[in-house]
Amino acid sequence: MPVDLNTPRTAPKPRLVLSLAVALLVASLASSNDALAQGPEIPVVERAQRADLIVVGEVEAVQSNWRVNEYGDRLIVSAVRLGSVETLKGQPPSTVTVEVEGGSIDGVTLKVSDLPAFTPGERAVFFLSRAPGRRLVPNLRGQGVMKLDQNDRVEGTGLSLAEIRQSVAAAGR
Amino acid sequence: MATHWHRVAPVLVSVVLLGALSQSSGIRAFTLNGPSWAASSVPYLLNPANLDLSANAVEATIQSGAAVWANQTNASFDFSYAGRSAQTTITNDAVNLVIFRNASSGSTIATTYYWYNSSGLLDADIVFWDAGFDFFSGSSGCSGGFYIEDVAAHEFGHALGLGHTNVSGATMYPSISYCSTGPRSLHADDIAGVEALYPPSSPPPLPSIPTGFRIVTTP
Repeated sequence: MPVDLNTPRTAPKPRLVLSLAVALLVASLASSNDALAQGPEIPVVERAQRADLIVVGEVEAVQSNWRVNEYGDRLIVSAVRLGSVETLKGQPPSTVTVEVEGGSIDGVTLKVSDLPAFTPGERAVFFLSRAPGRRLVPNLRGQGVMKLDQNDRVEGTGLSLAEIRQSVAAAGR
Repeated sequence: MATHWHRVAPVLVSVVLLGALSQSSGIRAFTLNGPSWAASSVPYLLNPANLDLSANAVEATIQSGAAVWANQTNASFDFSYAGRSAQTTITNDAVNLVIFRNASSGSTIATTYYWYNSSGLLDADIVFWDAGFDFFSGSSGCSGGFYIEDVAAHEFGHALGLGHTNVSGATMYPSISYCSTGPRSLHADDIAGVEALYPPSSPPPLPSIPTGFRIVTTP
């Protein structure tokens, strides 16, 4: 938008500036999610709005199996069981198990470019959708998982779990 | 104490912008998925059936996307086009397949499924999520969609063994802008990645020696 250089300059309003700064910071930190495979990046608030269930959890176990999906692809799929679950949105089942394509069976491994692989002990925020058969899958695929480091920040970014909680809460308002 | 926001604001915004810039300026370089292909030339098939373009147009633009890894680097590796296929499903069958699926997958434009064991890569299949996005060929006329060549260049990068990079502007950066033609031109980070996986068979030429210098060898 062109700016009239003759317009008198005024001091920006404090709350507006602070909100803009925080929004830009969150957007910039959330923009380097490594789980993507070329999709347009979805803001955390929108991810929260789209998800049926959002939990923070630690991977307790990963069990891989062969599965033929709805397209007829024969793939390795892993059931990722979570423990120490904190619910940010929705009503989780008593045991939260997330299903993701990829995994290893008998020395053969399948990896999927837009989905993370999991190992026990990892923590993440999971934005989940309910799929047929009461399965829970990452909503928006890779953008539905934000792995956390030891400082509760999303890996590869400075985005904190506290900021994600705030975004999820804001999405529910 | 009153806060002088008109003084603080530019500092805050600068800090935020610096944060954004540091995100895009390459904190971390290329990543390797781990395995690579044992062969120096790997064939792939294409099922060109799709919702947007003619089979011939898709065939040409997919080949262009695959070829960037050989044409723009000295890596001792290339993907070779082996023709069309009618296959519509993927699995670990040693058939490296590119298909367009009349389905969407969240915000993902295309997905690469790659299989490996202790010997290296066994199979790589690329699925374009055709119902989710409009696809275009060439380098003009795109509106609200993506050029296949650029998406293919990224996905074939996965298929040869590269992961994502945080270097903005690289082909293996995990996201792409609508109608971008950037990923078809490899970044130095992409080239370093593929040449780390598949070192050039002949070393690059030595830099010329400035006149007036003498090379002395020592035992």
